[in-house]
Amino acid sequence: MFGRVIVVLLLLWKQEEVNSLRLVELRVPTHEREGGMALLGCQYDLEGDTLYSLKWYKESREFYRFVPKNEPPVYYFPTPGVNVDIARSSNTVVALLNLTQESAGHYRCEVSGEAPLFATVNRQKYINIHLLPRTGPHVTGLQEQYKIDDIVVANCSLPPSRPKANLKWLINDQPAAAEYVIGPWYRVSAERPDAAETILQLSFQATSAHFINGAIKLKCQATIAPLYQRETESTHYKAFPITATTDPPDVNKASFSKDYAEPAENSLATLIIPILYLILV
Amino acid sequence: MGSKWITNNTEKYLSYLAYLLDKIVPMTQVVAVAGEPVYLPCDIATQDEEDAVLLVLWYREDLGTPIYSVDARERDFGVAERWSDESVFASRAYFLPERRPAELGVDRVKASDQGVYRCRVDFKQAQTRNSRVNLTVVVPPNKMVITDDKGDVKQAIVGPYIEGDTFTLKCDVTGGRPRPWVKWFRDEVETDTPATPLSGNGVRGVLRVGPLTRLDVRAAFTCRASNHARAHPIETTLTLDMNFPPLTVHILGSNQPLSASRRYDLLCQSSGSRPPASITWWKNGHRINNAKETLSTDGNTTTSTVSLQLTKSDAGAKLACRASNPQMPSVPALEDDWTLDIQYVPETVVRLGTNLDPTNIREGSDVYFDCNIKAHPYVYKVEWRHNGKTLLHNVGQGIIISNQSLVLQGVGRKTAGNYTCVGFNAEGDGESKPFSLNVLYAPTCRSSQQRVHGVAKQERAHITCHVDANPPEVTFRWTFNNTANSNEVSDTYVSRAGTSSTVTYTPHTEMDYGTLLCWARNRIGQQRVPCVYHIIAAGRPDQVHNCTVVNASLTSFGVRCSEGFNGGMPQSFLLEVREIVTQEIVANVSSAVPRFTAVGLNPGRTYAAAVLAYNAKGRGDPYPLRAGTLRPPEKHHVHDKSLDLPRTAFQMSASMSVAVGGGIILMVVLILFMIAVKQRCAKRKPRSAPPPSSQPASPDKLREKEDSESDDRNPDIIPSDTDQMQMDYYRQQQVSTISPPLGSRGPRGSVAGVRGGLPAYCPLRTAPPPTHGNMHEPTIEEGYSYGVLFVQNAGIPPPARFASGSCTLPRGGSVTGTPGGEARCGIPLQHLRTLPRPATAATAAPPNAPRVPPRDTPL
Repeated sequence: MFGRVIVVLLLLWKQEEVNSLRLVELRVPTHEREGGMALLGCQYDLEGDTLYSLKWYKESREFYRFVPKNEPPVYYFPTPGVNVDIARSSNTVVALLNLTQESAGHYRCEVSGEAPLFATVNRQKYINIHLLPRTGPHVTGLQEQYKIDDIVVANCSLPPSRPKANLKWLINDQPAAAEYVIGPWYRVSAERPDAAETILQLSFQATSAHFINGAIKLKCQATIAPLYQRETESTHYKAFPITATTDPPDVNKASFSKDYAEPAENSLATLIIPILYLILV
Repeated sequence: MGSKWITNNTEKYLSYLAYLLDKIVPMTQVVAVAGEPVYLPCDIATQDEEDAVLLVLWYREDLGTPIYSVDARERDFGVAERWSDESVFASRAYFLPERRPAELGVDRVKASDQGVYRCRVDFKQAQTRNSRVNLTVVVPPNKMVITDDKGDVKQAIVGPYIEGDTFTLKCDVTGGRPRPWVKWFRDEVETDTPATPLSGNGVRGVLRVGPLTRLDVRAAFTCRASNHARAHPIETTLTLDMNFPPLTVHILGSNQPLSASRRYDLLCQSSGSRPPASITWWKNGHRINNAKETLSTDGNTTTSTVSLQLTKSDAGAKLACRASNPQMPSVPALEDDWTLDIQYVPETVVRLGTNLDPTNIREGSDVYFDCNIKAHPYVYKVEWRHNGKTLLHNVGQGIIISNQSLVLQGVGRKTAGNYTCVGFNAEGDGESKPFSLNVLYAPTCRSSQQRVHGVAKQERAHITCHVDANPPEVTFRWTFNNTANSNEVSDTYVSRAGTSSTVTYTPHTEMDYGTLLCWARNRIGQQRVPCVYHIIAAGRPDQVHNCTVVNASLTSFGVRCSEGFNGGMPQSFLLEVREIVTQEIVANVSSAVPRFTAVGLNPGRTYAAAVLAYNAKGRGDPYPLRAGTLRPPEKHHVHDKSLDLPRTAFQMSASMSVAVGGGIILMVVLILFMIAVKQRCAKRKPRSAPPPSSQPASPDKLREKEDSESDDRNPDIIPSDTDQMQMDYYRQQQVSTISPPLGSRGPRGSVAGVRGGLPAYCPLRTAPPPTHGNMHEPTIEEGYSYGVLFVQNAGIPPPARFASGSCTLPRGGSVTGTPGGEARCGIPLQHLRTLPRPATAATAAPPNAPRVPPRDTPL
């Protein structure tokens, strides 16, 4: 008898919990690129309650409120880095335009029911704003051909970014051994003090093992997670000391010029050049 | 593993969020002590005049809904709708908008109120303002438990411990938030308190104490704990209790001598014990139970009083006082000893000489006593008493007192009685039980009995003979003497009652008048001198004599006379007073004794008086005399001078001249007599026959003799000085009955023979020979060693009385050849040496004692 009463009470309590205002989902991007736009979504279930207010805060500052009883219900406060597109904002969504570095921060959605309880739920997320490099990684210092025992030295540099990019060298699509890699170095950009150019050097003595089918494939890969990943690839054939006099400069030049190709073109060249080389030999 | 990693990550993420929130929403720290009111700040001030506060919402971070709200959206803020969550602050909360910043007041804050609160202020125009308050509710600790090393919970007192102990106290404080600090204070001075946290918010503070000394007793150890300056600390104070063994114990005034039979209150004090010492008394290991204990006001000193009456047997006993702490039975008791020195009144016992039979001591024998003495301190004086009267050393009287012995030479019936010896020391005088000396003697005639009986012919007379005798069992023998013969009186006429015997006697003829002699005998012997009763024909009494007038007054005078012979019968006396002129009898007084007072006379008159005696046979001759009454005072003076004085003066001178003349004649006779005696002794002649002492011929003469013979004054052992002569006579007489004389006389010297010594004695006494000193030196060594040695006086000439005694009773002089006739004049006293002597006397005896001749053996 007593136990049954407790069960009923528990059910009632649970019921009330279920019936109270509930924030269903806060849909906010974690990373956006400078200059872009973002949509912040706040989905809630009133569970029978009446909405008193929906407020968006960046950090602790209110920048957007939706109060149905107000006229107009939408009101926003000019905030650095937060450019609300009123036309595309509603009681559940706020659109932000022209994201800048200042736009990064905690965005909190707070939903309150009506009197007397003013039941309130809130949730927040952090939005990171990244500055992406103008171009992909740029590799310098490579020769067209390498002989066995030649020292292979190359620098890979990425234009300024924020946060700092992650550079990685791959030899024959395998990450270069740690002893082959020197760096990275960062160089703060003159025009964007918040951004830095990233440089990573590769240096190793070529062995016959490096040559697969008579060629070495070198790749510099740049990553800024999760928005950005680019790479630059080049292929270098094995040079023979006896035939060194026969047109090696041409080949070198051809190979060098290929370095500046688009990644897609680069890959085509690396396929053709070894074939031509084999035919000539 | 994986889920844990996720949980970990989530936690990290949440704490990161909290960190961010802390950064982005300002947070105020508020600390309140439970029970106090607390005020949570919330800034509701507007930036703009136009603006207004619409709504204030208070959240608790862990709850989704507000806990307090002020809704002023559709009304003035002053009358805004206020709402408080019943399950949180309820009516304890009230918003105070007028304060700057505004505050939410919460009364009687509870521990459960602790948390982070957020205040959200919705303005009409301005951006919503959020602020946060971190409310910390301090809950003072509410439980403090102190335990000792054994884990026992201690409330107010810790211990008791003893000196040298070390101990720890753990003070566990629980029930508070945040974790309180705990500190130990000793007498309000903070001590270094190592503290260790306990589960929950508890903490344990440890106090180490020791090693303890006596000074640590009653130290107050306070454990104090709190967790906030405003929170009232809780504390517990323990007082250190310690047990100490006693430090000192003393019997006060010990090692002094004590008097037996006196009650003493002896005190023993012990101090230093805690709790107070208990004191016990012991005598030779036996507990004394009647002690009473008192405690000094500070509780430190216990005094035990025992009331003891010690006896002689306690001397040398060990009196001990032991103090112990009843709470510390393992600690041996502290003890103070006292070997008792008991002083007591001398205990004395009189013992008769061992070879003497107390039931058979005869008159004239020598007796000695020892006084056995137990005394501490030892006696400084020993005294002997006879019937309570102190005896003095007097060799002349035969009383010789040495250290603890009494020698009585020649005891007599007056020597008998109770003898005690008294020892004197600082404790007092110890008198022995009396020793009753019983001296046996042969019967003697009792004095003052009727010696002359006037009896008419055919008259039956009862003549009674009274004797003194010891033992008093006597038999009597009567004889009748007249001028013709002497006859035994038949027993049929004799009756006996005790020491008296009565003969019924009737004279029939003239021959029946004479003398009755009464002889008594007891087991000691025969009466030496019989009692003599003269039976005379009864007649009228003789004339009284020596009548004088006494006590004359205006109307009376008295007359006294000496009575004359009563004529053998009881007599009475008569005074007749007559007028001289008229011969008229004015007074007629009769009396049993010749003493009268005539009264009713006229003053200033002279009367003719006559005194006469009368008995059954008739009147005696009257004694006439003149007697006068006094004149009235104014004429009396003249009468004295003119009439009385010349006559009395003449009478005096006449009697004086007669006396002087008689005295001179007597002196001459005496000197001549002495010379004669001296010459006789010097020629070594045996003692001459006594001077003629005629037997009683006439009744008058006989009466005088009898009176002198049987007078009891004679054998006085302690005579007055005037009786010295008689005393010496007596001594001689007694000695003679014991020791046979050297001379020709038998041991039983007749009365006449003894009497014969008297004349020999008298000249010696009054006129000692010139060789007196030389003559006596050897005699001192020989016979008088007793007395002389005792007084350590051998070289000094004996005193006069000594000399006279030695002269009368000569001893070894004749044996040693000392010249001097008196050696044969007396009776030696050698027998005295055979008396047992006290040890001191024996050791002091001179070496020349063997000079005693062997024939000087005692009886």
